[in-house]
Amino acid sequence: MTSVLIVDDELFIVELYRDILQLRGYKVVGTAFDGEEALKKYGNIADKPDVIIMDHRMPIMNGVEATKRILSMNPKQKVIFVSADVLIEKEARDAGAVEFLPKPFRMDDLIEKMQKVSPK
Amino acid sequence: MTTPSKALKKEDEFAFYMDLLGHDVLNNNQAVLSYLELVLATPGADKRVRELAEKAVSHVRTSTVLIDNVKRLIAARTIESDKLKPMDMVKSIERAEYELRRHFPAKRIRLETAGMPKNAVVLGNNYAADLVLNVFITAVRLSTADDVVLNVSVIEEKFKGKPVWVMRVVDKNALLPPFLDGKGVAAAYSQDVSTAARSTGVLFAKMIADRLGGDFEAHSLHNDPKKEGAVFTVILRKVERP
Repeated sequence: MTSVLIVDDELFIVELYRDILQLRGYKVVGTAFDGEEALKKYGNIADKPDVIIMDHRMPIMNGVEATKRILSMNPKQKVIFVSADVLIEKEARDAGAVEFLPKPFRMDDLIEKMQKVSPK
Repeated sequence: MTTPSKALKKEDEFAFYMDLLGHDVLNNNQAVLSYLELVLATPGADKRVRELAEKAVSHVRTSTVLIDNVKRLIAARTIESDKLKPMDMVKSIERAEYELRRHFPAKRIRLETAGMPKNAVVLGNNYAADLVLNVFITAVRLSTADDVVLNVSVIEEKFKGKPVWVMRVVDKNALLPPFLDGKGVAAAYSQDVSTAARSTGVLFAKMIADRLGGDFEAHSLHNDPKKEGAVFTVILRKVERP
């Protein structure tokens, strides 16, 4: 079962992803509401998630910075960037995100990208 | 929430609040869209419920495009023409066709694109691609039919003495509001804010085309404003493929 860490500062978005991903058979191993919390949780998870769904605009630490730091801990980590800021795509990809989805996106598109980047 | 610094100019302050608003609206659109998707994916869902949910999806998509357009218009204030890069117009049309179906799941949309040129490269980065998409979205929004057929042509011509690529989109079912017909596009927006608010897609197309050194116009196919049929014309500066 593909495992996921969800990072977004909006509670209703976190709940939305969690509900739908669980319905679609994914295992949500954790959630975080800002980049710094994501780093802490990521460090504490023994079995690293197959995929991280990362928002950008969050308090304390944004998604681009969090992505850079997570990838410095584990360069193989797959990060899918999701953001309402379409203009941030290049920065997200430069930081190491393997995929980018502008909000709002279809959950089918997110699932497709997760299947693409997660281990078979 | 951060507040804008006192040093910000009034214009930048406006852009800041617009950005905040847009961000939050898009987050909420994400939730609405995803829950609608769940409704649409429910096995055995009533046909009428599905139709209504599909219409709701179109409205969410439209509100997303509105926000994106305003954000891009704000960003476009500072377009630096020497930093513009080439963009393949035909590829943008292909991308737009895919996006259109996502925007309007309740409509059956077909693009007639026979005889497309192979090297219709224009100046304009993603602005030009967004412009193409906006013109298609505008055409479909104005179309009175559920089966939408857009006839699309791309032809090389001259504009103000310079080589350009001209994309024409003909929709025989589009009912063009009189204020958008012909030169009205530019005039309407310069005179009346309430008019601009009725169709930011058209405003976006006109402003971006102007800033990219091209043009955008919409014309009714008939003299009678109550008769359906319109052509949307985008003119963009031709450049050689790098």
